[in-house]
Amino acid sequence: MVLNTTMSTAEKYAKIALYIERNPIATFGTVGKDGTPHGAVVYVCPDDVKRVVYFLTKNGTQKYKNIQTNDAVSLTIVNPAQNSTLQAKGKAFTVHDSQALDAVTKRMVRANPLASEWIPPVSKLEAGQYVVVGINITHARLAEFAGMDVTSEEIFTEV
Amino acid sequence: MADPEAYLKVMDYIEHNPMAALGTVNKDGTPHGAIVYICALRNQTVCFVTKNLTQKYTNLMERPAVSLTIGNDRDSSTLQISGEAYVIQDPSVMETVMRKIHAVHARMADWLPPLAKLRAGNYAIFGVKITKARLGAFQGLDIGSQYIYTEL
Repeated sequence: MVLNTTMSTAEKYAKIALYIERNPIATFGTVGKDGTPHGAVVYVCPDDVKRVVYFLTKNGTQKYKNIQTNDAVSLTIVNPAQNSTLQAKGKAFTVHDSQALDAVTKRMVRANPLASEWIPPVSKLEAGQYVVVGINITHARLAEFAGMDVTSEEIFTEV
Repeated sequence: MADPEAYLKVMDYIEHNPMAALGTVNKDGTPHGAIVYICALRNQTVCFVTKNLTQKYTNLMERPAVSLTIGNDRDSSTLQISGEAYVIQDPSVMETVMRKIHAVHARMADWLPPLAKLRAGNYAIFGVKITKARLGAFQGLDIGSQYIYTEL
């Protein structure tokens, strides 16, 4: 096993991307016009190489409106069974490239049958048109607490 | 005063889904997310424990507006809360909260809560007065159904 402290940045990102792929339900954090935080649950899908994560939403939702005025976002994931969390931050953008849109949509459709109800919640909302949002990850910290000693340096994988 | 039935439904959801993503705002206006265990208290209030050297603690002392978000993929439900955080000094509340957290972890393979493993100062307990809450229960409901949301 490679220790977190000796991994290269590429290896660390690969580990984080794999974590996101296995734990695709995330809280997407934005800041509203009035400066207050807003959280929403989204299904995310990571790009394996580029430091980008995608999710599907609609253009009438509060989170989509918020990123039009402030594109700074956070992404938070928890896996209670493994006692692990991921805290990431980045810049959000709307995906317009048709090839990227196609690829992301296909991956999401493949991922959703794994959920108990395959239609994602966003599909049940009357909140405008579908949009795919990408997040350029600028910082991410994966914390794995299971089996670790108090204050162990191996708890965190950070890029 | 919130609709009592809706209030009980939201608080019951929290009791059954205590792990939430806490959203705060950094000094530079960017959002910060962190996982916390929340416990329902009385008077439309929930609370959580953190340590005083964490980023969320720093943010909360300067900007108390928070979001709390819970997702449950097993029943396709979400809870979105907005509120104002404040420090709770009451030791009896602290004891109640710590007991609840340890009760959750005592049933897990790794019984020590994550917060206990971080070198991040002294414990601090925050209450969050809920100003708005929206519980979305999507399972089995049609698109745009009026029954999806319970709001406070």
